Amino acid sequence: MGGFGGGGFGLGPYGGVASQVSELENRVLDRLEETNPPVFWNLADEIRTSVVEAMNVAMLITGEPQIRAIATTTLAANQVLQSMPVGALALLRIEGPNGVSVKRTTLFDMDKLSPGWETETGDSIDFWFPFGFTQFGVHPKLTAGQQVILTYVAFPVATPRPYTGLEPIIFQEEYTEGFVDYGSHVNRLKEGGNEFQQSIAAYQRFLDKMGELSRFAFRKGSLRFTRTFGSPSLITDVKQR
Amino acid sequence: MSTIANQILVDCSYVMIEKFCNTTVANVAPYGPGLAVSITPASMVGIYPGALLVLGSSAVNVEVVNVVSVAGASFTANLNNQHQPGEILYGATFPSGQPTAPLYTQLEMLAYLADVQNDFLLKTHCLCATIDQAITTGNRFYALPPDAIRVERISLHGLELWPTAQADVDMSGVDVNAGDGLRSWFYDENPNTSVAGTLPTFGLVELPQVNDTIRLWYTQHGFHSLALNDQLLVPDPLTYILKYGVLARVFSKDGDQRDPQKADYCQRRYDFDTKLVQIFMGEMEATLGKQEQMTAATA
Repeated sequence: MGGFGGGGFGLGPYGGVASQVSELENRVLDRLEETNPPVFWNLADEIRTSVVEAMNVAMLITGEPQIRAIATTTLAANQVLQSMPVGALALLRIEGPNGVSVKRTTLFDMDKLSPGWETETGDSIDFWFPFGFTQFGVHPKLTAGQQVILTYVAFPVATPRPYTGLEPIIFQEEYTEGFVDYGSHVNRLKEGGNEFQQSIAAYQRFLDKMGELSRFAFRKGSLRFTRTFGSPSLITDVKQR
Repeated sequence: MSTIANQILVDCSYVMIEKFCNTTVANVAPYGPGLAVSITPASMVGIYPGALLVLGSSAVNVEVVNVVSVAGASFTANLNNQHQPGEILYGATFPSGQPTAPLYTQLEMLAYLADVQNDFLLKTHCLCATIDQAITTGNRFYALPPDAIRVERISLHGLELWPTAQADVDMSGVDVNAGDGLRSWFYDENPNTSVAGTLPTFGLVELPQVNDTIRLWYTQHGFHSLALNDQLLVPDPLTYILKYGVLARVFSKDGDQRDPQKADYCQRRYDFDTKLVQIFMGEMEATLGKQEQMTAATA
């Protein structure tokens, strides 16, 4: 079979073609009518960075990439708040022993559910809640460390700058043309004038594509971004009063 | 978070078509610490008297140095640490017009970045923290943490104190000095902010009768000022948004670099992407939720 099933095409993890950031650099340069190495742009600081920036914007719009960690995370004992794992932006799910999902709630709801919950202890967590982008809370407070599996929206590129170009693209192939559109647009900002104005069309193509792909993300799991199954995702009247 | 302030300013330098320093030190022997240490970089691009540069390749000796003087292919700076040949020397220095008529200064750009980071954190409330606050007998009012945007929750021994308002406390008729036990808290509507450096305060109902400890849960803002090698508080994938906020200020500033088209685009990008983060956080319910007002009498 041809297409995306076999080897020899430099396939990415989803069976697509582009698997590293560097593979999109030449495509962005083509849009800018530049050779490699480029003359009017810096390959590492501008072109490569713009591709990563595109992935970051895509993450915000689509909620991808979603990662279920292979390795377990050990929740610290004797504390409610836990640090987010490295490379994770927003926690989606926690699996406890035997893969059972831990109920998700909010800090607000914990006070309504169980006043004084902060001081309660146990050997396994029953609830978790997000606390900004850098921490999450658990209840009850553990008497000993517990192994859990975390599912989260991950940083598209987990390594810090400067980027090498070897960073894997962990999005599906359908995203990559959008990344090239985005790169060809933002890199023209420094030109200004008509050149930049004309690149707005490429930016709009990127937004349209990400909008379409966010609908697929919704199809994967419409309740991923809500509270535990069956609960409304909007702020209730009580909460808003 | 690993993105440092200088990386965002370098991104801005590319858009502003400003040179910046990104080189290594060619000294043949270890140098520093000391005053007016002579440093010979591989390139003098972006280096001028008064420029701030980040020198160092390890977390142990990295420091921000101020260029004291320039002579040919070398410059002098006061160093606090010892450095080795070949170490990295970099900094977004915005040299255009230096030294007599600079278009932008480094301190100006760092101030823009600090302001934008705080604006972003205010709009998204994406950073949260807790701190234990000692309370003392007979004292009702306490200062907010210096890095707090606002307190979202206060707990005493794990039990939430109900959030209320000064006006509700006044109208409830509750004897706030009764000492029946802490039950609620409120923002002080009449803090003594006429004293420089005074932080906003919150008050407790009822008056504490024993020394104790409460826990404050709050959203954080960033630093008032930034150094070139300061790590930004915003998660790495979101730091690109700060770049657009800085550029919006850069291109709307009065002067030769004024560019309404770029300023408008950058402001719109900043606003739009910040909105994306707000929506993202709302979907994740990573915000702390709105706190309802309740009267002290019903607490």
